[in-house]
Amino acid sequence: MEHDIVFTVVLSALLILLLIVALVAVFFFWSRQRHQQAVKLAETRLSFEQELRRTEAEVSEHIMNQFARELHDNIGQQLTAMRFQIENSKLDDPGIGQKLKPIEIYLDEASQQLRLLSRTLNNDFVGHIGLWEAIQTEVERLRILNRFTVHEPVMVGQFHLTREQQLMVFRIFQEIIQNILKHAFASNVYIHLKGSENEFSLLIKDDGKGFNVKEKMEGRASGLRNIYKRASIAGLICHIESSLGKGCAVELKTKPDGRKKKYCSC
Amino acid sequence: MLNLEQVLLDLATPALAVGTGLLYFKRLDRFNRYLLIQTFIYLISDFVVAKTGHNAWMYNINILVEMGFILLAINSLFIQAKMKYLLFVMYLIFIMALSWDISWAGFGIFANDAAIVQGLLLSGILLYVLYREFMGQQRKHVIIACIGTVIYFACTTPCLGIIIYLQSKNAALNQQLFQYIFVLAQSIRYFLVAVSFALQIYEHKKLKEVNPV
Repeated sequence: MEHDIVFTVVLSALLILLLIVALVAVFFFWSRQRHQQAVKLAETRLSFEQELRRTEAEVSEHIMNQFARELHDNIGQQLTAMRFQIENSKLDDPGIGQKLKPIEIYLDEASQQLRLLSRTLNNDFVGHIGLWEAIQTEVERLRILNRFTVHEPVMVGQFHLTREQQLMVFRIFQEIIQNILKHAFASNVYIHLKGSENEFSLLIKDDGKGFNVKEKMEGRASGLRNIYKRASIAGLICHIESSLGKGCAVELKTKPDGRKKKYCSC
Repeated sequence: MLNLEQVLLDLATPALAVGTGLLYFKRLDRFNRYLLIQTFIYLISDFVVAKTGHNAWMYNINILVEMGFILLAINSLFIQAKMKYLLFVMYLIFIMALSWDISWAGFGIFANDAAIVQGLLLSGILLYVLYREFMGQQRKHVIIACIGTVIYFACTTPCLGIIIYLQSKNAALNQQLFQYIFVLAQSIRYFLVAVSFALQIYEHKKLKEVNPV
C-alpha cells in the first residue's frame, strides 16, 4: 500500500517534470516563431519601403525628363524664334543692330543656360555621357551664373558605378549645389571625385556660412533628407559635416562591403 | 544526524550556487541577488539541520524566508503595480497557510500544508514569469533560474502531500522518497541557479561589448 503511494508520488513528480519541460519547449518554439514572424514582417516593410523609394525616384526622374524636353522643345524654340525676329529686325533696319546688341547677349546667355539645364535634367543625357562629364557640364552652368567660384573638379582613379547609381549621384550633386546656391553664401566650391574597383567617393565642399546638421535634420530640411534618401537608394553612404561659419562638406561614398551590392538593395 | 555522503550531496549544488554568486556579486542584478541571499540562507539552514538532526522547525523558518526572497526576486522583474500587489497577496496567502499549520501542529512539526501552498503558488507565478521572458526580453539568466526553481517546487509538491502520513507509517521509505525527489530536484534547482549567476556575467560582458559606455 505504502509502496503504491510512493510509486504514484514518484510517477506524478516525473509527469510534472515532463510537463514543465514540454511547457518550456512550447514557450521556446512559440517565441522563436514569433521572432521569425517579426523578422519577416520587418523584411516585408523594408522591401515595401525600398519599392516606394524607387518608384518615387523613377517618378521624379520621369518628371525631370519631361521638364527637360519641354525646356528644350518649347522654350528653346521660342528663344530661337526670338533670335530670328532680332535678325529680321536687323535686316529691316541695319541701324537698330547696336541697340539690340545687349538683348542678343542676354538671349545667348539664356539659350546657353537653357541648353545646359535641359541637358542636366535629362537622365538620358546623364546616362549617355556619364557622371564625370555631367558634373563638368553642371560646373560650366554654375560658372555662367557667376555666384561663386567653382574650382576645377578633381578626379582621382576610375569609378565603377551602375548607370542608375551615376544618375542618382548626379541628382544628389545637383541637390547639394542647389543648397549652396540658395543658402550657403559661399565664395568657393570644391569638387573631388575618387574611385577604384570597389570604391567611389564624391566630396563637395564649400566655404559658406554652414549650419547645424542635427538641428536641420530635426527641422523641416527636406532637401537634406532627400539627399540621404537618394544616397540610400543608390546603395551609398552620405556623410554631411558642417557647423556655423565653417562651411559644409558632403561626402557620398560606397558602403564598406563595396558597390557590388545590387542597385537599390540598400 | 545525517551521514556525510548525504550531507555533501545535499549541500554541493547550493554551495556551488553561493560560491558562483559571491564571486560575481557586484555584477548580479536584483533578481539574482535575492536568489543568492535565499540560497545562502538555505545553505546555512541545511547545514544546521545536518549538524543538529532536528529539521522541522528549521525548515519552517526556511520556507518562510525562501518564499519571501523568491517573491522579492520575481517582484524585481516587474514594474506593474498590479503584479506587485499580486505577489504581496501570494505572500499573505502563504503566511496564512503557515500560521494555520503552526497553530494546529506546532512549530516542531513540518508545515507541509504551507509548503504545498508555497509550491503551487510559486509554480504558477514562475511559469508565468517564464512565459513572459520567452515572449519578451528573453534574459537567459532569469529563464534558467526560473526553470530550476519551478522544477523544484512543481516536482516536490506531490511528495509534500504525503510526507507527514508516510513519516508516521514508514519513516525509512519516507527518507528514501525524500532522497529521490527532494535532493534530486534541489540539485537541479541550485545547479541551474549557479548557471544563472554565471550566465549573467556572460550577458553583462556581451552588453558591455555592444554598448561600451
